[in-house]
Amino acid sequence: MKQKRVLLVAVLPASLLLGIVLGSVKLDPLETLGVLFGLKRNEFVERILALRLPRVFASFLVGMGLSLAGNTFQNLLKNPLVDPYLLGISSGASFGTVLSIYLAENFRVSWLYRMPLLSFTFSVLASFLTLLISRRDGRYPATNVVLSGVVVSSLFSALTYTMIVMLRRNVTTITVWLFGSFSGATWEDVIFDLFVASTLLVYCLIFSRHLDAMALGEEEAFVLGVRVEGFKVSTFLLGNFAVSLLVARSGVIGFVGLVVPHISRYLTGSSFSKTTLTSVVVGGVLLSWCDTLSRSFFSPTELPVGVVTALIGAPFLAFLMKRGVQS
Amino acid sequence: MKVVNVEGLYFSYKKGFSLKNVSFSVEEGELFGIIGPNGAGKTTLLKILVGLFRPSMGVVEVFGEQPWRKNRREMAKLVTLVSQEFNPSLDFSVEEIVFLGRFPHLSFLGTPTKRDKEIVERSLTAVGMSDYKTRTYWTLSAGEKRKVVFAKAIAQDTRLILVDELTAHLDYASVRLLCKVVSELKRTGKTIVAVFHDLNVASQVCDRIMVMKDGEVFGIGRPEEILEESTLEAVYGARFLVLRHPISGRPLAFLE
Repeated sequence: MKQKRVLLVAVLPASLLLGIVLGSVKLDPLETLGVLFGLKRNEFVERILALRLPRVFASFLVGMGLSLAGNTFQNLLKNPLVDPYLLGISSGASFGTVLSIYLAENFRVSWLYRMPLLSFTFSVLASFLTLLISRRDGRYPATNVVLSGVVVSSLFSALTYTMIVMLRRNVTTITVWLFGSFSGATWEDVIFDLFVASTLLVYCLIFSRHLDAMALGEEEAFVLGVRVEGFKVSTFLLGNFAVSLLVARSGVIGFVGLVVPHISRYLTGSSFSKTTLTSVVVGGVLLSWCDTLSRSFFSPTELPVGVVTALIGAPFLAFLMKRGVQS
Repeated sequence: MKVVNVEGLYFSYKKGFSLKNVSFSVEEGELFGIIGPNGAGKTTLLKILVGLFRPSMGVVEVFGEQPWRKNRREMAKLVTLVSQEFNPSLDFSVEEIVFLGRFPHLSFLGTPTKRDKEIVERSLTAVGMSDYKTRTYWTLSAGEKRKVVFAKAIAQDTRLILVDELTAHLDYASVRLLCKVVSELKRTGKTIVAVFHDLNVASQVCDRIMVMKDGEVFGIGRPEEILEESTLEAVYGARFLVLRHPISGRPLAFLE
């Protein structure tokens, strides 16, 4: 147990450094560390850092936020196969964002562009639709949720695509919104993501026992003293809100919220307070690795980061479903 | 003091099932058994008492309060329900599950105190599961799982404990252990309302038994008043032979 914790803490700075030095332009790790801590001056490295540092941090924070949201939804819905992507939240939010851009550009309602109002609305709408379709006698069977999530995600992805064509943007923009990207991330993005992810983290830590109780089942949680209906609604809305804010900046990045909670539980057991803290590290590290891969593999061209997470996440989901069917 | 007071309770699900004109009361410190065939409404009644469902009509008071009205956390300090099915979606450790029994007693940000830990330890010892603390729930046998769920209810430290099926699907050693646990809880002043499938277990441990059939109360009384050949035949639709336990003198029912 202790070893695992030490390993987790050690992996964190190492992978951040890795994310900084790797990419289309590779940097010397020692030289980079020297510049980072102000011991050396190197204009070239500084320029690369100015571009890459916010990107590494943004990917870390978004990974953390999506993982926390996924972890929360898995406990809340008593379903280990859900994540913001599979619930349709991300696709809904992405559509809402693109719609905001469209409205802002064509009807000059520029406040919409700045406010994540539509992305939030559509994320709630999409996730609500997913749950509505999958509901059977008051329950949400695991595989039903996945199926209806696919339905809803496809619908909103199609709408997003259409909207972008109507915007007359090029195909690169489309891939960004459908598969996510941290290309061009700024410090402003980092601060924004930090705010969202840490708010979610605080909520998760405060209500960790509530979420443990929810994983026992709604009736059990009620008997233990949780005001189930109110808690469900508030947590669901907060999760939606956080994800829609993250998606509005980075696009749809799937499977992180699915995979990371499972890895966390494997590492530290099922207790929500533990999986929350582990998810922060694992989620952040995983997505920053994925982003590093996405910009290193075919450099100087970039792969959308969502493509990399899907390549890892899809087989993982298949494995979970297969195992679930057997047990 | 009346812990539970139910008068003229009616309840119906959307799909037609109902409780009809149910009236009974349970005194403090009593071990009150509920028996009856499947679908008699026993589980529904317990769920109403814990506050999960609201009755359509009638009076339901637990410690003088309507259970569905009172502040949830406060209610959870007074009443718990050991439900028949307990399937956590995550593989918690035994200790984590029993710790959740302390949920209503812990403040939002408060960490468990030494006393909480002691109570959890005692609850696990009471059901003989203290060696299983670090085992995860899914790796346990059905009997062990039941004991863990019971330990969680003990850790919740409520004055009223509702139990849905005390001994269903358990081996004899576990049945004996849980009966002892229940008697011990009663001795410490807890009030227990438990559903029994096994008439003879009910007869040995209960102070009073209520028989239900088709959502109605068929009879309430001491075990020797209820476990009677004519009553059992009318309720279960099968002929029984009732003898006396050679030591306790309580009735024992056998299918003829």
